[in-house]
Amino acid sequence: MNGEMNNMPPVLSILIWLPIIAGILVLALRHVGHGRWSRWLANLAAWVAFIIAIFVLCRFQTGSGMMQFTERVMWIPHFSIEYALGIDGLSVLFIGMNALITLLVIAAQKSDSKSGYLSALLITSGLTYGAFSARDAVLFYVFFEAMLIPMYLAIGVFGGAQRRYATTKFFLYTLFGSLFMLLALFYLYSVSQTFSMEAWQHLPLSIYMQLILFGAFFIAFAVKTPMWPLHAWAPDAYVEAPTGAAVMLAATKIGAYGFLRLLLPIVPDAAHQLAPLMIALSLFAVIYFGIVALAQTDLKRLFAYSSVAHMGLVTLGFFLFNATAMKGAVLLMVSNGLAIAALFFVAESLKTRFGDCKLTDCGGIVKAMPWLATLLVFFAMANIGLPGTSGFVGEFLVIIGAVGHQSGYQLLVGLLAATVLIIGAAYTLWMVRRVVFGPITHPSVVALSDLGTRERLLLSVLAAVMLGFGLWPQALLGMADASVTQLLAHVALPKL
Amino acid sequence: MTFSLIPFLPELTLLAALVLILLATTVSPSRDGTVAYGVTQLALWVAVALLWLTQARYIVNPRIVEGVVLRNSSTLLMQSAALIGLSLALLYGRASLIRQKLWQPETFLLFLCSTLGVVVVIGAYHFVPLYLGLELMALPLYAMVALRKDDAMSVEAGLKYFFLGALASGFMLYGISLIYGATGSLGLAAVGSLAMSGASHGLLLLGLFFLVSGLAFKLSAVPFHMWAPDVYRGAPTVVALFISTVPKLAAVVLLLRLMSGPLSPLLVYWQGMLAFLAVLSMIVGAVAAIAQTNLKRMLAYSTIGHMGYLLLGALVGTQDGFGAAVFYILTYVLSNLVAFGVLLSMNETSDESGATLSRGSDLEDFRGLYKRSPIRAALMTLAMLSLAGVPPLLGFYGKFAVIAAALMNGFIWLSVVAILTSVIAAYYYLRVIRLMFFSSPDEERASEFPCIGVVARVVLVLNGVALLVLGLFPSALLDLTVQALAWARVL
Repeated sequence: MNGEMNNMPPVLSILIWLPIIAGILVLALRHVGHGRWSRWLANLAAWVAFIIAIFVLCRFQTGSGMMQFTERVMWIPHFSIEYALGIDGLSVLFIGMNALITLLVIAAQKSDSKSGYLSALLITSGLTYGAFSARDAVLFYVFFEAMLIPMYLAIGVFGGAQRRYATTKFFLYTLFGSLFMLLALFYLYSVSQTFSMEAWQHLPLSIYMQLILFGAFFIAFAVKTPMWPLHAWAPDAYVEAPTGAAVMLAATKIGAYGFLRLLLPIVPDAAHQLAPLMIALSLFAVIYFGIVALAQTDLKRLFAYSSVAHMGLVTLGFFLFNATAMKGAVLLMVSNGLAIAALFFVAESLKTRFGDCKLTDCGGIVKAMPWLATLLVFFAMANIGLPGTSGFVGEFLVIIGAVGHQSGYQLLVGLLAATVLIIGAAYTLWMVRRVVFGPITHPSVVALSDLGTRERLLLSVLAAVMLGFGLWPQALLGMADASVTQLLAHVALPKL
Repeated sequence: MTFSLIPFLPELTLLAALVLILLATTVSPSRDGTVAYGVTQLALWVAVALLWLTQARYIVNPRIVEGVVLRNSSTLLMQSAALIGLSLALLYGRASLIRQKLWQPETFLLFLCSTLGVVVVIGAYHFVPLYLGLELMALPLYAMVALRKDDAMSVEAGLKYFFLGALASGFMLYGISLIYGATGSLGLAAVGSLAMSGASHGLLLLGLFFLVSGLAFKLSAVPFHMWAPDVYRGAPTVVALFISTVPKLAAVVLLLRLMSGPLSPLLVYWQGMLAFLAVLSMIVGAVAAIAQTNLKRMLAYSTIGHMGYLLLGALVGTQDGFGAAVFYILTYVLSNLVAFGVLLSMNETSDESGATLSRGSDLEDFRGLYKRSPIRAALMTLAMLSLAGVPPLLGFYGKFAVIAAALMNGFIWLSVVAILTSVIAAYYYLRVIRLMFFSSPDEERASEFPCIGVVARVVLVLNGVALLVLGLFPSALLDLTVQALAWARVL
C-alpha cells in the first residue's frame, strides 16, 4: 500500500460508493411503504451526493493542473492495478454536472412504483463519478463498462416500445468499442508494466504504434460520444430510454471525456497526424446530423440528433489543438449536457400530456401551456447557442479557435463549423413554429394543463444554470483553464 | 522411505463412501437416495478437510509419491475445487433429482465414482494412474447422461456420448502408447527428461497429436465438440452441470501438466494445435449459441466458447498463461454453477407417462422471470454477465487475465479474435437477460416454482453474490491461483 500524503477524507470514494450503495438499498426497500421509502432514500442520496460534489467544486484549486482529492490503494497487485482516484480541471466540471443531473432525474420521478429505475439511475451515477475520477486505466475501464449494466436494465425494463432492439444495439455497440480500448490498455501495460494513465502520458511510442492505439481508443470513445459513423445506437437509445436514463446517457459526456483523458495525452503524435481526418469527420457530423435533425418528426429524436450534431463541434474543438477551441469544446460539453437534459425533460412533459410527441400532432401549445412553451423555446434556443446562454460561449470559442490562424483552410473549417448555427436555427425555429405556435392541430391541446410545480421548478433550475454560465462562463473556464493549458502543452510535445 | 497412505486419505475417503453406498444398496431394499446423498456430501467435505489437513505441508514442498502421484499446491487447489464443485452441484440439484425420480443411491454412486476419477487425474504424475483416472471419470458419466432411461433424448445423448467418448479414450491411449514408444517410460518426469534430451521427435509428435485430440474431446473444444449440445440437452440438468464443471477441471490440469512438464519441448506444436482449437472454439461457441432456443444447449455452446478462451491462455506456454488458464477455469466454474443453479430451480414437468415436457430449460421459460421471481432473475443476470465477461463481475477478470497473457506474449491476432467473439457471445447472454426483464411472463408456462431447500437457496444466492464481490476484489482469487502455481513448481 503506497498511500499518498493526503489529509482529506476520501471524498471521491464517498461520491462514488454512496449512490451505488444507496441504489442497492433502494432496490431492497422497494416493497416497504409502497416504495415511498425507497424514493425518499433515492432523493436523499442524490442530495447528499450533490452537496458533496458542491463541496468538491468549492475546494477545488483552480490554478493548478494537478490531480486533486487523490486516493490511491493497490487493487490487483498481480497486474499492478491501483484503485487510484483524483480529479483535475478536466474532470471536476463533469463531477459537478453529474451531481446536478442525477439530482434532477431522481427528483423528476413522481411515481413511488419505480424503485428499480431509481436504483439503476443511482448506480449509474455512482459509476459515472468513478469513470470521471479514475486515474488507473483498468479502473476507468471497469467503471466505463459497468455503467452499461444498470443502463441496459433501466432502458430495457422501463423504456418505450422498441426498447429491446434499442438496448441490445446500445449494449453491443458500446461493448464492441470498449473491448478495443481494452486491447490498447493491454498493449500499453505490456510496454510500461503499469496501468497508470499519468505514467502513460510520458511513455514513448512509435508513430506506427500510436496510430494503432489511436484507432482502438477512437472506436471506444467515438461510439460512446457518439461520433459519426459509430453513432447508430444513440438516437434509438435516447428515444426509447425513459427520460431519466436518456438524460444520464446523453448528458454525462463520458465518451468525449475519454478523448481528453486517454486518447489525446497518450497518443498525441497520432492525434496530430490524424487531426485533418478527425476534423473532417466532426464537420461532417455537424452538417449531416443537422440535416437529419431537420427531417425528424419526433421531438425527442430531433433533440437526440441535435445533441449528436453538437458533439461534432466538441470533437472538432479537441482536434484543433488550440486553447480557445479546447476550452470551447469543454464548455460545450457541459452546456450541451444541460441543454439536452432540459430538452428531454420538456419532451417528457409533452409526452405525458399527449401520449406521444410527434411534431405534426401537437401544434399551438402556447395557448394552452404558456410555461411549457416558454421553457421549450428557451431551451431550444440555448441548445443552438443563443447569446447569453452557456451554449453560445462554447460554440463561439470553438469557431473562433477554428478560424484563429487565418489560413484559407482554417477559415473553411470555421465556416463549416459555423453552419451548426444556421442549420440549428433552421430546425429549432421550424420545430418551434410547428409545436409552439401555429394552429391547434389536436383537439385535446386546449384541455391540457400546463407544467406542474415540480416540472416548473426543475426546468427553472436548469434554465438558471444555463443563463448563469452563459453570463459568467469564467466560472467554468477558470476551473478547466490550467488543465487545458497543461494538456495542450503536453500534446504539443512529440513523444516518439 | 516407508510407504504411507496418508497422502491418499482424500481419495480413500471417497472410495470408502463409494463402497459404503454400494454395500448399503445390496443390503437394504430401500430405493430412497437420502442416506446416499448424506453420505456423499459428508464424504466430500471430509475429503476436503483431509486434503487440507494432510497436504498442507506439500503446499511449499511439492512431493511426488513413488513417482506416480503428485502432491502440491496446484493439485490441492484443483482437487478442492472439484470436490466442492460436486458438493454444490448436488446441493443445487437435489430438488431436481427428486422431481425426476432420480433420487436413488445409484445416482450418487455414479457422481462419486466420476469425481474420484477427477481427483485421481488431478493428482496423477504417471500415465497409468492418469489414464485409469480418466476412465474412472468418464465411464460413470456415460451412465449418468442416460440416467433417465425412459426419456429417449437422455438415452440417445448417453449413447452418443459413449461412442464419442470411447473413441476419444482410444485416441488418448494410442497417444500414450506412442509416447511410451518414443521414450520407453510412462512416468511424466522420465518422459520429460527423455523428451528434453532429443528422443525421436516424430513419434512424440504423433503421440502428442492423439493426446491433444483426446483432451480436446474432454474439453469439448471444436472440432471435438459435437457431443456437448446434445448431451447437455439430453442429460438431467444436474449431470449437465457436473459435466460442464468438474471433469473440465481435470482436463485442464492434465493439459497444463503435460504441456508445462514432460512435453514442453514440443511447445511450438502444442501452440499450433491449441491455437487451431482455440480459434474454432471461440468462433463456434459464439456463433452457434445464437441460434439456440434451449438454455441448456446454449450453455453447451457457451462452454465450448469458454474452453476456447481457456486454451488461449494455456497456449501462451508461460507461467502467466498457465495461471490465467487456471484462474479462468475457476471463474468459469463459479459462474456456471450459478447459471445451472437457477436452471435447476426452474420447473421441469412430466406428463403422465413420465416424459419430460422440456419445461424449465427452454429460453421461453425465462420470459418475464423478473416479475415472477426477481431473485432468480437477478442471479441469472449475474451469471450471464459474468459468463459474458462484463466488468465488474468475476468473469471479466478471467478474460482479462487470459487476453493479457496472450497479448503480452505476442498472440495479437488470437487476442483480437477473442475480443470479437466475446462481443458476439455477449449477444446471446444478453438475450437471456432481455427475456427475463423486458418481456411479460408467458401465462401458459408460468407454473409454480418447485420448492428448493433453504440451504440450497442460501448457498446459491451466496454463490451469485460471490460473482460480484470477487469481481470487486478479484485479487482474492487471482492471487490464490497465481501463488498456488508459483509454489507448485511442476503443475
